[in-house]
This record gives sequence, C-alpha cells and structure tokens, in this order.
Amino acid sequence: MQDNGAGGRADKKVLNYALRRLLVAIPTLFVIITASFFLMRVAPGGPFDLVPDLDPLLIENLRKAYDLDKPLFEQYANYLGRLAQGDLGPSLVYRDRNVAELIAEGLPVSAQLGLTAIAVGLFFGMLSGIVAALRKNTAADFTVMAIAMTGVAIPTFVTAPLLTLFFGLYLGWLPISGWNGGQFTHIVLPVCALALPSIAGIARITRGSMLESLSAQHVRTARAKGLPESKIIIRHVLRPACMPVVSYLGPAIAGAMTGSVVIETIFGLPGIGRAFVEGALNRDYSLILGIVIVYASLIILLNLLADIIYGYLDPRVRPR
Amino acid sequence: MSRTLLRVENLKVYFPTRTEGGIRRRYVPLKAVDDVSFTVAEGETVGIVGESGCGKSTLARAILQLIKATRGRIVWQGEDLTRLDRKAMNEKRRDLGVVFQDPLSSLNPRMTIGNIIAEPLRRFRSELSREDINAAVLATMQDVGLNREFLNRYPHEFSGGQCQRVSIARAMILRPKLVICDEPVSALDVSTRTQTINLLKGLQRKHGISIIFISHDLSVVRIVCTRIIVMYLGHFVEIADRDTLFGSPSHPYSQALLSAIPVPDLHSQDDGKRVILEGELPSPIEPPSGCVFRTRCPIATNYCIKREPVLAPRENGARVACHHV
Repeated sequence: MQDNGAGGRADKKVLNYALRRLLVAIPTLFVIITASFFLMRVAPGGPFDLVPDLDPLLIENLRKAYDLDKPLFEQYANYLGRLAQGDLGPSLVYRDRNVAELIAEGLPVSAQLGLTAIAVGLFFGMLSGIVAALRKNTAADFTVMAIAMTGVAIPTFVTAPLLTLFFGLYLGWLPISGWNGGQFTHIVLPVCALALPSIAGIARITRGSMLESLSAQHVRTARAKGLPESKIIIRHVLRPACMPVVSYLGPAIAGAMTGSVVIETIFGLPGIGRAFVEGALNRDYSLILGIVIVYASLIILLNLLADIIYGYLDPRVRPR
Repeated sequence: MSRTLLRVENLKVYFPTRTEGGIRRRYVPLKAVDDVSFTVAEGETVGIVGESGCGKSTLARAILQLIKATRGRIVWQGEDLTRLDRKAMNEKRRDLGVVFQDPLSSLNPRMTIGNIIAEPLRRFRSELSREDINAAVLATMQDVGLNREFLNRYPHEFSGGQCQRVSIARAMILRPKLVICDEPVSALDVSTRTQTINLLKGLQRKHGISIIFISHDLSVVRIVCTRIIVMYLGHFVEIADRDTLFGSPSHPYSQALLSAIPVPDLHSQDDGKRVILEGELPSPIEPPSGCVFRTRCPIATNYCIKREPVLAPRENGARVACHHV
C-alpha cells in the first residue's frame, strides 16, 4: 500500500521545511548572541580580576591587547565580524588557547558522556514505562513508579557521590574519577549518575502517554478488528506514545551533550560543562559566548530534528 | 423464519463504582445493562433505541466482548462468546464487524486510509498477496463511495461522513455476518446521514449482512430496521416490528419517544398530543424499585413500585414490559 511517488514528495517537503527552519534560526542565534554579549558586560568584574594585586598598568595593557578598552559597540561589531569568519576569538583566561580549541577539547567528552547517558535512559526509561502502563495498578507498576519518583526527586549531586562511595571506594570495582581518554570503566559511574534522572523522567512520560493512547478510541477499533494484543500495542499504541518522549529528548540531548557541571566536577572530567561555569566565574567573555553559541545551535538543531520525527510519527503535524 | 445468528440471553453488564466518602471502600454496581435477552436472525436489521445513558453502547460492546459481561450468555452461531478466551474470540471477530460512533477518533490518525481498510484482511486473510489486498481494498472503497485517490491519505484530511465510510469499508471488507453499528450517523449532519444510511442499507442488501443498529434517533431507525428494541435504563421495555412500533406503540416510554418525533406535514392527522416525560433519567446505580420507568411514567401505580414487569407478548405481536398495557 506504499506509494513511493508520494513518499518522495514528502521527503522533499521535509527538506524544504528543514531549510526554512534553519534560515529562521539565523536571526534567533543573532538575538541570543547579542543578548549574551551585552548581559555579560553588564555583570561587574572582568577577566583580569583573578590575580590579586595585579599592577594597574599591566591590566591596562592586557585590556588593550584584547581590545577591551574600545567602545562596547565597536567590540561587538568586531566580535560579529570575526564570528562571521568562523573565529570564536581567544580565551581571555587561558591565555595561550583560543575558544575553538577549548570547545573542541571539551565537547567530545561531554557529548560522549551525555549521549551514552541519554541512550541508557531512553532504553530503560521506555522499557519500564511501557511495562508499568501495561501492568497498570499492579505491583510492577507501583514499583517502577516509586523508583521513578525517587529518581526524579534525588539530585545528581547526591547520587553521584553515593555511587562513587559504593562502587569506587567500598567495592573498589570502578575508578572514582578522571577521564583517561574515555575508557569504559571511567565512563560507567558518571553515565549511571547522569542516566538515573532521565530513566526516571522518561519512564514517567512513557507510562502516562502509553495509558493515554491505550484508551484511545482507535485502539478500541483495533481490538474489535481482532488483532492480537502485541500487534495492537506495536502498531496502534506505541507510536503515539513515543511523541511526548521525542519532544522531551530534543532539549534533553542538547543539555546532556553540553555537559553537566555537577557530574564533570565530581568525577573530574574535562568536559565543556565545567569550562562553561569556570568561564562564567572568570568573566572569560569569549569562552562564554562560544559555548552559548554551541548550546543554542544544538538546541535549535535538535528541536528541528524532534519536529521532523514528530511528522513521521503523526501525519497530522506533517509540514505542508 | 431464517436461522438465528446471535442470541443474547439474560445479559447483565455491571460496572463497579466506588461510593464517595467513608473510610472503607464500598463497591456498588452500576447496572448498565440489566438482564436483557434478544435474538438476531440472518439478514435481519435490529434497531436498539433509547436515550443517552440507557446502556445501548454498553450492550454493543458487551456483545463484541470489548467489555466483559457480568452474567448471561452471548450465543453466536451456537457458541457462547463469553466463555471463549481472547485468542478464540479474536478469531470470531472475522464475522463480527463494528462501526463506532465517532468517525474520526475511531481511526488511527497515523495510518493511511488504505492501510486502515486493509488491516482486517491482513489479519484474517494472510494468504492474500499485496496485489489481492490492494484490489480488495479498492473494490471496497468503491463499494462505499470513496474515491480511489484517497488510498494514501490520512483520516484527518477527511470529513466526518467520509471517515464513517472508511469505518464502514473497514467493517465490511471481510464480509462479516453481523455488523454492529453503534450510533453510526449521530455525529454526522443530516445530508451526510441520509447518504450513510442508504450506503449501509445498500451494502446489507448486496451482501446479506445482519445489522444491529443502535441509535437515539427514531427517524433513522425507522428507515433502516425491521425490528426495534426500545431500551430504558438498562432494560428492554418493548420489542416490536417496525410497523407495529411506529403504528401503535404499546409501552408508555415508546409512546413518549414516538410523540417526540416532529411531523413535517402541516395537514397531518397528528392531533398534537404529546406525551411529555417529567424528570430525568434515574441513576443506574440506584434504579427505581419495581418497574424502572415508573418514576417518569404517566400511568404508573403503586403496583409498579412493588413488581418488576417482564417482557410479555401482546396481540399485535409486540413484547412489552408494562403492567398496565
């Protein structure tokens, strides 16, 4: 019953839609950059306040070297000019590095960690959510929901040290910190700590949307058709039940990829999340802007992706 | 007399409801369908009428085993459906079609019209090739008056009437022996309603299908059905042939329902007498004692409070549950 001609047309439509959305994203990014740039400058302090009793003349020279002595709007114009050529500028705190290098170093670490955690969360979260919904109001359902509630409620800065304490120090199975080039044993604990809240969140979302789509009228129609229960679940229930999970995943993946400050700090990982917070504390203007741009672009891209997947899951929201 | 296809015997469907307040939970049954019996013969169209909440839809779903019957038997071609396990019941669904009330939401919004209509075939006629299925789907679509170009479109692109045609096509494609239509036209506007009813009648004549037609609209039931059951608060109050019921309704409730149908003819013999029912439909959780209709009945007496009437045959062939007619 598949008409390939129509399918091809639909794909072209999706491509057009994506391109249009990306074009609209450019002014959005511009607004974000502008707002961040000026907000940052409103905050008191500067990048050279860290070293105590620095010679005022030295500070003056540093400010000159980084063009910080010029009028704010000129600096802004210069930044945009360089950005247009793909240059994120030098870091103001890590003097011998530029922002692009710092991001290129930190992002893969955070991304690997975050994506693994999301994958783990998606698998176990959906699985337990589906089980809970199909066994509604039974012991299995209550257990899953109780654990999920706990998972949502307990913050990572509690679970992470507990995990380290038990598996790292008490049992001695896993290293308690460090990255070590992304070695498996070093990833396990941070991924677990990161995945727990998303398992819990996804399980709760999945259960709710499963229950909703189980009671949909077209599912009753499917029952009346005499389909076996497994087919009903797969073909008529699961697809609509995925939709809230997809919309949850868009921003969740962006957030996970750009790193968790708490996890990266506790496990001593060289990720981008830590760089972001340190940058903010040190008033490393160019580093903050660089990471903001990365984060914003990821959010925009992943939301677009989520919307496209939405269209595949539900023809009613397909772009025309 | 043709063969009996379906025989419902003493069917009861109760829903547990929890009483409000109090520490201990008490479950009180809501008697949605209370002790009803009837038969459907091959090729027959039986109408079930009654106001909203009288248990019509519950009855339909219980027959289809979409709701568990609390008590009673549903004998389908000699076999009691209530005793079948889910798998055996699913096999029976091949001959038991259904058209639900809400045209759009009864269809999976994520499936194309073609796939929706083809799904029963894929389930029960897995030996068919893709081409055969395609051909059968197109033939059925033509049967119900759907343009073949709609094959790859989705339900939300269609009007209610067209969606109901899709539902009918889906229900008819396996050539079932019985199709239960649960308020199939009440969500449609009048012109679409007529088309859909004519479509159902045409298909029935063409394929010799039995239909249980559930509606609150007497004018629709009058066109479609040969035999009509009047239902009130989970009970059958009258079962009669169409002409008998519309010519001389026996039960006071039937009389009230019929007198509510507007007569479009200015010079009609209608004497303008209306049987107006007072009050509202009582709660099926605490139905009135004796006759369920007595709280609104114009001719109720003390006797009606004490004794529950049973369906008994009258001279005109109707069966009526009333002490006084």
